[in-house]
Amino acid sequence: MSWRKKSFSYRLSTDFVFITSILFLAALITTAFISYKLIADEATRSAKNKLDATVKEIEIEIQKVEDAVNGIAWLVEEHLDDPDYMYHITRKLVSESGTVFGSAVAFEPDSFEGMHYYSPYSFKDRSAGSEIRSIQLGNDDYDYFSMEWYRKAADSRQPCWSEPYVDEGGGGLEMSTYSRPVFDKEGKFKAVITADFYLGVASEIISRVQPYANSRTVLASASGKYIIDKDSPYFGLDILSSCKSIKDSRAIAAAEDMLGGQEGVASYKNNGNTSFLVYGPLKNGWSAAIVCDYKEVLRNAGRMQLLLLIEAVLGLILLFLLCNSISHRLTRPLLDFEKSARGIAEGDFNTSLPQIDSDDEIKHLRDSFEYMQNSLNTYIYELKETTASKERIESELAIASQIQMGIVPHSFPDLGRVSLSAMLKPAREVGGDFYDCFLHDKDTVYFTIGDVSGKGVPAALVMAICISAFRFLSNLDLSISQLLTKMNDSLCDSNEANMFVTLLIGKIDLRTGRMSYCNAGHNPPVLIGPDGKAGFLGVKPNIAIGLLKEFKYEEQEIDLAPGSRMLFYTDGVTEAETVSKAQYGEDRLLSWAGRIPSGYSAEAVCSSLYADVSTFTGDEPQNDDITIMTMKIE
Amino acid sequence: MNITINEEDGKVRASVCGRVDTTNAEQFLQGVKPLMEIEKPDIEIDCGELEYTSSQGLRVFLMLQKAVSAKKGSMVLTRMRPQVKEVFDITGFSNIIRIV
Repeated sequence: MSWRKKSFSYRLSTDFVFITSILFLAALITTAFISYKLIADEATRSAKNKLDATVKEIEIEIQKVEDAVNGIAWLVEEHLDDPDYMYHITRKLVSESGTVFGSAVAFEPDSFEGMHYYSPYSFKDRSAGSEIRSIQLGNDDYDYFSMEWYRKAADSRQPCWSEPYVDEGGGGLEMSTYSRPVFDKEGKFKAVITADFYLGVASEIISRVQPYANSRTVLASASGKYIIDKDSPYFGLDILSSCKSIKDSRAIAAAEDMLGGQEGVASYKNNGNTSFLVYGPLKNGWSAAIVCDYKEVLRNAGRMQLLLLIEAVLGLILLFLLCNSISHRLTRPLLDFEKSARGIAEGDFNTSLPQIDSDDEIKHLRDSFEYMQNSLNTYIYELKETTASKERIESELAIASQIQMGIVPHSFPDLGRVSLSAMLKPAREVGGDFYDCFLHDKDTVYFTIGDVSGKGVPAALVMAICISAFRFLSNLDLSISQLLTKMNDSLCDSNEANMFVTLLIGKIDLRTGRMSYCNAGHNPPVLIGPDGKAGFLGVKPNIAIGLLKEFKYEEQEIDLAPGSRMLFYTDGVTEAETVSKAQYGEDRLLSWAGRIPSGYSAEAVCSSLYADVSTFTGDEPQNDDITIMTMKIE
Repeated sequence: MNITINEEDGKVRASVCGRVDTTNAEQFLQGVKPLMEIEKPDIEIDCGELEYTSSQGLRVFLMLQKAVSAKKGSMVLTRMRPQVKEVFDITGFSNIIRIV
């Protein structure tokens, strides 16, 4: 099933869920970003606090060692000339201080007669239940003058801490020694008094500090050596080379900072993970640091985000189902409307519409549907009415056409000397042309040709009136002009519509060939003489009938010589038009009449003229009735 | 077919252009209706551009003339082309409508 074929509610739901999930995702990403940042900041701050506390704890231990040494140094100065008393002093220092593992008073070379080395040393013998033992340290195998703990204090004349080392003589423990120079009363450097600090104490404190599962807390000496359990692989290594192996300049810079006794925070990349380092100095030149992966810190935040994501997905699924169900319910009426629309399309305008109880767009749609139904019903009703009335009018027009064609004669009586022919070609609409011709008595023929203004049923009615009047009045033995005058008067009496008729009426005495005629605004007939010459018959214009009551029409007379022909016509002939609106015209008519062979019968003349007009107009449809009536006098 | 009507100083000048035949006779009638409704008609119709009129056109001129006469007004057709004038002459309309 393609996307377009999916239901509306399905598409609505998916669109809705799609947009919601984008918004949700954006919110999720934003909150993740912000919370990660906050958590990371909080983690470094908390690590820094832990570090400060740790530093303080270690400093207290260091202070104890320094205090023990500083507190007893005056005794050494007092008894510089009493070598044996030094054993007493060192034993006293070790026994009185829990933190100090061992203590020595190392004299300058040859300070006493016959003794190049003199350094009484007391220490807690762990193999003998921490019983304090004393020995003399210096000999050719243990040349303490070159040892760091001695050299550093002797050279600088300042108290100092040694680098961490493993004490070979006193039990193989990791130590750092605090050394303090001793001077005689003249201020001459005489000896160094030391106290050994067991680094396991510091290691133990550090090991307790672990704010995160994979975080490490490290302690480094002034030169950067790790102060750590001697069994650790890191023992003897230094922090700068460790940081250099990370290959991130930020880590190296932090290590250098630490060696410089600075405090700070650094973050750097290590094996693809981002870690942070919080560091700070101890007062004896050492430094401490906590290092941790952000991954570890953010693990819980990540879990929360995952939980949120799962909740969001479940929520979105629920939202989709709800939305789908709601929109399904809302659009259900549309399916009903579809059925109704189909019903209407199939012609059932009264098809039932779904019942809508809500007052919303669907209700409006229903109202519009109802309105459409009503409008369609009204429209169809009106269309039926109009169609019926149009059909009625068309049938009336057909009847009118039948009246027109039925009222004019189609065959003519044998008139002896006069032969006669006529034709009427109605235009597509019913026109108002007519002609008539009948034998009044055996010697008199009456004829007429006319054209009612306008077209259609009104013209057909007027035409019927004219022919009826003409036939009736011809029985009254009136002159032609009287006959026309009466026709005019009767038409004027009942001419509200301002219809008028141009016509020519006449009668021929068959014995003499004399024709009396009277023209009422009609086209003048053409007379073709026995010699074949054609010309318009002179007619008094008078006026068309139906216009002016009591108009006195004047009649005319002419003797028709044997062999002459008369041609009567309506303006459908002279005003026949080509496509370019050129008219057939009177000149063309006369010129055609002059070419008629004398042997043509009346009928042949008739059809010949019609053929000439048709040839002239070509394909242009005939726009007016064409009526032609011809007479030939033998 | 086109009709224009102008009025100045109570005298109405109209002009008819083109052809009046079966197809537009009704339109022509509607066009001259305003002329039939003038209180005191004094109308001059310029027929210089009138190319042709059928009998339906004549009928409209006749109705217009009757309306004018009923109000004892006057109407005159001017500059009529010869072929149009001939139709007016043949049908006798020249007798009822003044053409100069």
